[in-house]
Amino acid sequence: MTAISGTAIGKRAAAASSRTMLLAAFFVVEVAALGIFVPGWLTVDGLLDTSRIFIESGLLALGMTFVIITGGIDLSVASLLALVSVVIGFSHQAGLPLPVAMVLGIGTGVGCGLLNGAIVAYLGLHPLVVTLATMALFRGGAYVISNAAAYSEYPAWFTTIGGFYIGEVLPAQLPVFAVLCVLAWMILEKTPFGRRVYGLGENEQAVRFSGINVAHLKLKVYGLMGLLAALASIIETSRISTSRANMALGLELPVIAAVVLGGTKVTGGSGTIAGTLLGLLILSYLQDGLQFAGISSDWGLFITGALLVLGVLVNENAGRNRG
Amino acid sequence: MKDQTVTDRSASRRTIIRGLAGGTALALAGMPGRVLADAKRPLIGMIPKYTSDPYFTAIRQGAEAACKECGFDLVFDGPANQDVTAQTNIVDRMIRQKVDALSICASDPTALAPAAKRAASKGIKVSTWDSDIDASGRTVFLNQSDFGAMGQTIADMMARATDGGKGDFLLVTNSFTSSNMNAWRTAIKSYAAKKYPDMHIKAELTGDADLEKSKNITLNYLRANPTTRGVIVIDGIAAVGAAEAVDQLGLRGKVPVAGIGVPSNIRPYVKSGTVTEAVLWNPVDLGYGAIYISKAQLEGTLDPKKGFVESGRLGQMKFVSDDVILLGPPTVFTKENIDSFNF
Repeated sequence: MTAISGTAIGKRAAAASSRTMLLAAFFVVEVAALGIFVPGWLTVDGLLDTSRIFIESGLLALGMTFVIITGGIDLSVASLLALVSVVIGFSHQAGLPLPVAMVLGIGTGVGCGLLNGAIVAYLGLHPLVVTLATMALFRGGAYVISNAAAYSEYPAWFTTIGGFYIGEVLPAQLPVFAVLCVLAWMILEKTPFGRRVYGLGENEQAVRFSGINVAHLKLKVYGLMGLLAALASIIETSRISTSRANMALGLELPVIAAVVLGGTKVTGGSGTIAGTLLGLLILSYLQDGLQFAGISSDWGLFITGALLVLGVLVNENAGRNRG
Repeated sequence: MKDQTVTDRSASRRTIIRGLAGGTALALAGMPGRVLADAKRPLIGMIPKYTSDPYFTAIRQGAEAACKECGFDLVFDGPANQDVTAQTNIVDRMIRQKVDALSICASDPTALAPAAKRAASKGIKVSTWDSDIDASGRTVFLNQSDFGAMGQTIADMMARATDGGKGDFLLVTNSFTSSNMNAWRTAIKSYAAKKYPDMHIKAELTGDADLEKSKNITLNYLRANPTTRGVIVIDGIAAVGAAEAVDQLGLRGKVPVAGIGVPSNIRPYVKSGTVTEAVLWNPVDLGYGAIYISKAQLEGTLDPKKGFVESGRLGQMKFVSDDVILLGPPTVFTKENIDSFNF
């Protein structure tokens, strides 16, 4: 454990903070440029309101940061979001009280996350293949349960979860997201659990030999991912007040893009919550600003792809310089 | 040596930052965007279900023509694929863009309602076309065709193609959540039950606006159910998928495909005979008419008691109820006339 926690952490912290500064600078330049070139876009109300659009992918990105730092990946997050939503909607339709249905939904999220973790940890299969399979499995499950129909009869109190504004400008989910960001940062940076997550991505053998149960660690990380997917699902379901199997189709891409752009290396061992948050903000506000300027949403995927390439390039270069 | 590295790195970082900043500015300047509106001209936000379909391109064409006539600016944006969340996000964004009127074709009637109500509470005039939202979220809906008349036309086409429409049929739709398609399904079935009692719609499948999926579900179904007499399609993309499947199985002329179709998509299949007949309204007219409804709303002249809305070259569009306006009768496309429609 000393080998991991000593100089490696020092180096990692230095590299990470310089990347974070770079991202922060990019973000400021981006917002300023959009503010200048897109009249009417840069307002406090507008910046706050846009957060409604990216908080769901932001929650997924928090969990994804943990997963990728361990050297893993979770492609099933968007499918899981849809599955949880459909479970909540259709169990409610079948007569379950909504709060109970929500608990069932959260259970589904955590359970499916643990399933991913268990297959990765105990069968030793690569997370890319495992979660590619469960991506289809969860999405398929959502289609089977919903029979390709939508459930939209949510009561008013439920739709306020993702649709309520504090003081008419601050979306209610924004403070919740902020608290979870701080919590995720503390867990990752300030707890032994967080250090082990980094250790797992840097050198799994070393973690194993220092007497830590690697399988339990992976279960927790993927379980946490499932919990966050369930939370994101509840917020999105409430915001659009409908449950359907094709929700969040392809959302794993911007989520992974935000994490990678934020400086988390896909090979594991490095990454920060601050970086992920900046990656998310850069991606989300750029897309929002361009669409606000009247550039069609068709560009969204193109921009995500371009920034993902940029993120990978910067990550790779940073790695080389460090050596 | 160490100092050297440090300088190099900070220099390269500066270059990166400069590069990124320059890149952003360039990208912003170079991308094709709407020239931002003149503050005095009304701005209309039009939101299709998705953009990846020539049908919605034709809608846009009509809307642009009408905006030109009325002196409006148009923002036309929808999700690339059928995605309710993305569509809700676009409504929210258009509210921030301070559009004066919103003209929506909804992927889901309830999902769009809260966002539409938010728009209305900020003084934006909301209307819908093609696929409605809950009445609480909008003032008026422009119906492209009378659902009953459409259902009758489709059932009659299938009966014509199969000598009276006796036997088992497959119906392929987009999804079970689309309000207009659900209304046609109901209309086809209730009309067929009376007029063609031996026409049995054995299965109803969803293609999710996906060509490949529409094709595959039709292929699999026809393989497993060789006695199927015909395929009824009530979605423009499903029409192409089903026709592809029928051709692939060598069933052209044996298992006819008929229903909703967009001429530019189904032209080859209508000419080859795989699709016997197709029906649709003119989407260019629909987009055009929708803008004239926004115009009436903005001028405050929209009044069901008057019974109609003035709509430029279309003349008068009639109110069929207090909050529904009808575009006009549907158009049937056949081998003979399909070349005269360019949408």
